[in-house]
Parts: sequence; C-alpha cells; structure tokens
Amino acid sequence: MWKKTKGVTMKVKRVVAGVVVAMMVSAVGFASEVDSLANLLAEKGIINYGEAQQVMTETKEASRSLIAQGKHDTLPYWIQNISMKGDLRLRHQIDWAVTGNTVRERERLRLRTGFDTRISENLKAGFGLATGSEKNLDAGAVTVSTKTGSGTATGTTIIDAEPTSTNHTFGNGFAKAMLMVDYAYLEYTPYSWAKVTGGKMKSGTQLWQTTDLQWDTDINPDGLAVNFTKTFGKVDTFLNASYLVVNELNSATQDNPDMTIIQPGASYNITDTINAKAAVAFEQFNVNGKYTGYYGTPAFDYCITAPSVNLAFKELLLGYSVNVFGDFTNNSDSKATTDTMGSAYGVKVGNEKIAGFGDWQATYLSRRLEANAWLNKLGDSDTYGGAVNTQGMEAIVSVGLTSATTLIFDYYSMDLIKNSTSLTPKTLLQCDVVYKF
Amino acid sequence: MIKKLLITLFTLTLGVQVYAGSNVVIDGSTTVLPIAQRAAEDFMNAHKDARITVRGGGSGVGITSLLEKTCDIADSSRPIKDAELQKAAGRGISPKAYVIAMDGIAIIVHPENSLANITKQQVEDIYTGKISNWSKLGLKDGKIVIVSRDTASGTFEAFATLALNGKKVRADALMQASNQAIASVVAKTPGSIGYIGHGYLNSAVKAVPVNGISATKQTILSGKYPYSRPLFMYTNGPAQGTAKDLIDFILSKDGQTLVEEEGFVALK
Repeated sequence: MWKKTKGVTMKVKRVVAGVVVAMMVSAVGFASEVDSLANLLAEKGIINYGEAQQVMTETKEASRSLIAQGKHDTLPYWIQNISMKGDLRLRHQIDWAVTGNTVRERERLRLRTGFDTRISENLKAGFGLATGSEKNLDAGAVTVSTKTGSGTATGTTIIDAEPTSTNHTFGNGFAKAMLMVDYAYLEYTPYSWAKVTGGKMKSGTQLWQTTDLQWDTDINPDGLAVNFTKTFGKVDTFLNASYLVVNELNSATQDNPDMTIIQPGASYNITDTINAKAAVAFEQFNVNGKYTGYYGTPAFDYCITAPSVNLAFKELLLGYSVNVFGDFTNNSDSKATTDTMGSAYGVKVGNEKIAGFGDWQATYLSRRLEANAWLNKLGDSDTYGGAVNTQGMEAIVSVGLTSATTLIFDYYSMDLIKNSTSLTPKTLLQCDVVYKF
Repeated sequence: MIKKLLITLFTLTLGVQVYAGSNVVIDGSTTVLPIAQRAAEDFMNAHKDARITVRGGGSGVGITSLLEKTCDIADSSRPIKDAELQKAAGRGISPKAYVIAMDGIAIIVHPENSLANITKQQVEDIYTGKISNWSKLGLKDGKIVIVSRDTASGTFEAFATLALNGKKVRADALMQASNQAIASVVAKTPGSIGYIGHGYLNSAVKAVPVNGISATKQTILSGKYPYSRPLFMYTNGPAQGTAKDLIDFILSKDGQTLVEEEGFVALK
C-alpha cells in the first residue's frame, strides 16, 4: 500500500502509518478522527487521497468486523451478535355483518419485536414476542367497588377468538395487553445452500406462497423445516420440506396429529426487469380422528397439491411495478369427493417497495376456498374468520408516510359459497398505521 | 509407456494448477463492471496465462458470491453491510476492501444558467417532482427540464443512492442512454438540469456546486463533495496470486489511467 513518494522519506511514512494503525486498533469512536487525520495527511501530501480512502475504509470496517466476529473488547458478546427489529400497528376495524344488521367497530394494536443472535458458526437463534388475543371480562354481572360505594355492572366480553391473532383490542377499562412468544427457533446453516430450522418458526419458513389462502401470516408453525437452494445459470431453484406438529395427544394408542410438506420450486429472471417464480407444495395432514379444536374436527386427512406462481414486472407502468400472483389448492384425499378446490389470485401495482413518503401499492385479489379444500380457519382469519366454504374479494391500498411508517387500508367482501343467504355476506375494513423499527 | 503416462499426468496436473492459480472470477457491481472489464482485458493481454472472468449482477450479488466462495473478487459500489460481515464471520471469511477508484456525480446545467449553488435537498426535490420551476431556486421563472440516465446504468444507480435516497425519478424526466448524451442535451437546452460522471465534464456545460462544494478531483477523493463514493474490490483476506496482481495493476498508474478513461476519478 505504501509506495515511495518523491520528497517524503520512508521513515516519516512508517511513523505516520504507525500512528494510523494504532488508531485503527482502538477504532471505536475514532473513525471520524481517523477520517480527519487521513484527509489532513492527504492535503499535506504525505499520503495520496487514494491511500487516505483506503485508511478510512479499513478503519471503519476493522471495528465492524470485530463486532461481527464477537471479538470486540468493549462490547459484550451477546450484544455484538444480536440484531433486533419489530413493528407497531394501530388499527381501526369496522366489521359489517348483515346478520342482525350489526356494525362492529374496534380499535386494536399489534406490537411485535424479534431478536436474532448468532450462537456460533452456522448456528443462529431467533425469538420474537407479540401481543395476542385474549378473553377479557366475562359476560354477565360482576361486582365492582368504587370510591362512592359498590354495585353491579355487566361486563363486556371482548374475545378476539383467534389463538394465533397478534391483535390486542382496546377495551376492558385500559387493561394491559398480553405479550406472548410469537416465535422461537434455532437455525442451523451447515452450507450456504441448506438451512435447518427447529422450533416455533416464522411464517413462511415451512413453504413459500403468494397469498394467505392456506396459511394466515400470523401462524408461526411448530416443528422442523429444511430449506435448500441451488442456482443453475439464471434459474434459482429451491426445495422446502417440513414436519409440523399440530397437537400432542398424550395417548398410548394414537399418534399425534401432524403434517408434512414438500415444496419444490424455481425462480427465473426472464429479463433484468421480469421475474417468474413458481412452486408446487404437497401437503399431507394426519389429523382425521386425532384432532378436535380451533380448526374444527377434520373428517379426513387432507392430501393437498398446491401450486403457486408469481410474475413480477419491474417498472412496467410509468415506472411502477406490477405483480401477478396466485395460489391454488386441491384436496385429493379419498374421503373428500366434492368441494375440494381453492384459489386466491390477483394483481399488485405500485412501487416495488414502500420506502418513503408517497410510495404506494394497490392490490386486488379474488378468493375462493371450498368446504373440503383445506383445514377450517387455518387461512387468513380476516376472510370470514378463515373459514372454508367462502368466497369473495380483498382490496388493499398502502401509502408510505415516512421511510418506516405506512398507512394501509384493507377491505374484504366475503360470503359463503354454499348455503349463502341475504344475511350471510360479511365485509370488513381495516385502517392501519404501521411503524417498523 | 508408464513413464510417458506419468509425464503426461504430471504435465496436466501442473497445467491445471497453473490454470487454477491464474484463474480469477470477478462478480458484482455494475458500476465497477467497466473498470473490471477493461482491467481484465489489459491484464490478460500482458499475462497470457491469466484467465479472468468478469460478471455483473450488483454489489450484493458480488459480496454474496464472495461469501459463498464462488468468486475471487467482489466488485462493490458500497461498503460491505453489517449483516454480510456477520455471515462472513459465520463462514470463516474475512472480507478485505480495496478502494480502486472514486465515483463522483456532477450536477450540470446549461452554460447560461445563473445558478451559483444547489442544495442536496433541492436536487432531490427537482428529480422527484417536488420542484418544477427555476423560480423555486430564486431564479427567473421557467420550467425545469430534467434529464436523467436510464435505470439500467451504474451512474443512475449511484445518483439514486447518493442524491435521491432510493426514491423514484419523476416520470417526465428525459432519459438518456449515456453520460455524453446527457451532457449534449443539457448543453443545447436552456433551463435543463442533468447529472454526469465527473470524468465527462466539459466546457459545453456548467457544473454547479452542491451544498457549496464543487465537484473537483480533490473534493471527490476526500469525500467532501456530497455525491462522491469509493468503489471497492473485496477479497477473502488479503488478495493473493493473480487476484493480487490484478488489483495491484488497477492501483498502478496504468490502471488508474483506465479508471479515468471509464469516467471515474483516479486515486492518484
């Protein structure tokens, strides 16, 4: 790096280099001072500007490398390797149910925080906390005491009713919001092309899909997943495989209800601005006669074939991106003879990412999930509670307020497929402000 | 017979080893790509046993490739990220940065434009559509004709990062395919504004100081000019063998000459 410069002795350069290196070793807090020193040395002609840039770069990256390796003396190991992120969502929700002509309005919040930390080479732990649904006051009369006396009041039951929901509904006299473990997993990456995850894993680890037709995005399943990736020329291929535990029976005669998923897929850059991604998931539930709970009492084991496809066009319309996407599902279990299909497909237009004020995205999708196509209530809980035998549409408009804050309007209009009446349609509007940190 | 076979095998092995030692794969930044391609050509002309493959794909692609050990040199127009350093630490890789050139983007206007200075915020506002008239900058009323590079260019990528914070260029900007084309349009169009690599400045256009700092080789090299950035080549640990020789060539006088010929700012 140090080449002899006319008029400057090597001895002076070694002294200067020694000073600079000493400052680099204790680089925390000294990066800006080193920048000033390097520029000064360049102005004086002791080193050239290229060498000054090299010194400034090495100073900054030396400290960051030490932190990345967990070797920085001034910071605890766990801080050096931990990264944190999360989001806070405030929601105003309006539910219109024709039955009883009711309109329900709720204010809700969702807080999620997540941490990733590198335990050792190739091994990482991740855990996240989130607010969740709760049952508040019991319905019926309760005795309350006040400063002026005692009496009775009728409690209001506020049940969000969804065990996987991360919403806290305002009410119950300013009750505290519950915070629960949202996910917790260990991730082992023995090779750059293989990853093994075990625990309560983040949604999407078990398979890739373009919509929440099958899996509500709040569902973080329990089990083990293996993800492989391999690039062949312009084609990125992947294989997802997972084993998920649905319940634990504590039974000597029956095995636990569970499911397995295998999903091969590929992504291909047709041009620099057009990408096509497709996959087929084979999902096998083992639940018939073994599970009764929030998802109902399945009458058969679901044997699902679920293709998914996404076509992304960057800067297609006046510089905005267009995505055409769809998920399809078919249950081929021998006991399911009718109403075995489902689909959700649509289009998204707008900025590729919402990264600042004025950025926007608009999405429209059509949804249909027949009665025997999928496990009840596993899909998006905002679409008729995630129920099967439903169809309808969803429209979403998102607008960036700042680089970290987004305003979102999400509208659903759903009805039953079979046995629908004039009283069964349900519509829902969610108005969200989301802040990511 | 066996002796001939052994000699053949030995020669082949030596050949493979020589080939392997002289074989360098470079991946990464489309901004650095022209420098890497020119340097590779000139280097291979001077070193007949060297085989250098140069690919683009972006800085992130290059660094990922380095971390996966599928390239020897990663071109990058940005410093390595903390998350990438963490991955590198997890895989026992020690990325080392070599600054091989500086990139500076000059803001230019028509020579008759009396604009004496422009702020970074004004540049962002003009190019994102918030300012459309010169009167907002204290000049005579007149529509601003905005000239930009097409989105596939490294210069556009640099401008979008340094000046627009990743925001989109307004839809009515006149897109040009080269730095020379932008300079030509601005030179002929009163009321126009454009941006070009520092190496493409000429007397037909007027370069405007940004935040009071003019785009000179010195201000770009020192990083004081707001739209300047270093360009990097990363290796796994200190560069060795042919990769080291190539980087040394780029940092040499001849190498820095080709850096300037490609429109960037040489380090010396």
